[in-house]
Amino acid sequence: MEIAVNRYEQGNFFLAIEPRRCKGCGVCVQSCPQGVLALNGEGKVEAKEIARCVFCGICEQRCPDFAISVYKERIIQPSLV
Amino acid sequence: MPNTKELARHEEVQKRFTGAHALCAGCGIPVCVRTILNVIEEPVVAINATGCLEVATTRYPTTAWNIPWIHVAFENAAAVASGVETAYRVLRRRGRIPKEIRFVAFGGDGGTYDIGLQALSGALERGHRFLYVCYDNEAYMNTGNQRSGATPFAAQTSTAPVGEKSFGKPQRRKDLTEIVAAHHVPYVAQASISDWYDLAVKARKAVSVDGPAFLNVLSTCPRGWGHPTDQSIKIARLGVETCYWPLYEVSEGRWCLNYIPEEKLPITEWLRPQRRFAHLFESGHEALLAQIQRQVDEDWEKLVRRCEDLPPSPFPGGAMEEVWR
Repeated sequence: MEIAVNRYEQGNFFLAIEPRRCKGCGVCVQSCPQGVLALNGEGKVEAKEIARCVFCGICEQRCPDFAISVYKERIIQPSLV
Repeated sequence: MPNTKELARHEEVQKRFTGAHALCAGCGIPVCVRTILNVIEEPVVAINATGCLEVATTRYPTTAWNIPWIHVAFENAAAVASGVETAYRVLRRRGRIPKEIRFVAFGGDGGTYDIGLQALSGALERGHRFLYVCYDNEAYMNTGNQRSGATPFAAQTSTAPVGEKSFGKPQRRKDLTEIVAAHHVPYVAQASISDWYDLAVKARKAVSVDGPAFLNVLSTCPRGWGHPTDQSIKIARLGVETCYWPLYEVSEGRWCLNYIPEEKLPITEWLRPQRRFAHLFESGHEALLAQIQRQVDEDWEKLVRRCEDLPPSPFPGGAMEEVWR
């Protein structure tokens, strides 16, 4: 079964939202400093204005259900011991 | 050595605790658990006392954990953690385990403040190297909001109801962080889900000390506290801003405040958005509000004095400083 992932792109960065995981709590909507995210009619999160997104990653860190991921072109890979 | 932000984004550590669990919308527990597990570099073994976290993340046949995970009864998470840690230490001495492993025990406030306190006390006193995390949502939320030792004064719960002759819980909450600090363990800290970086750095410090460490994390509960789900982080933040839940650490016996609000908000800011305190804003309960404010002020002043009397933390600038660079 293919898992639906909504991808919102801006340049080399993108925001991946997995609506299946979202419980619609709205923590990310309240946390977003740029007002990018909003809940849609189904109570799932959507990136309404991706042009304003600064890809800070605060929504990813605060999402209790792991529904949002922020991807950057250059992911820093720390050397794990 | 990666810094905290890089580590939290690393793919290998990000998969330790995943979504698709059954915790309520807006729950603070996954925020706390993912933050702590994300910033530990070494392999982790999780020990979980009974509670919301255990019940909702491991519904048969699914699980939200991608790491070795042990569920134990309410009362003995710390005892099991000490057993696992001892077995690991012996095997490591014999050369059977090549890698360093970290042990993290998770317990709710019921399993830590009340039922698991003696096991926790014993494990701390014996000096096992593990991190105990208490996610404090201030009642037995798993079973339907019964009062616990962590429930604050005058909060409404199902076993401390509000009525003509009662105003919620008549006793004050116990200060577990201070109880644990009295065990003279290397690292004890109080954190909140609202301050991500503070919590992440405290978790890194806690696993880097050689000995037991304890984190007490304020974790909101929209169902039990009665606030909208999207306000979870904001309410935890108000707890910090009103000095109800000060962020501080006790490192090698030195007390250090990590955050001093610029302007201390009145305690009503923290009480008003929560339904469990709604009765305090009806007429006739002004004295209770004044009493709560007085208690918070006294506790805060005591804490500030304590942090001033002693030399500052060995980590300059408190938890907000990266000490591994």
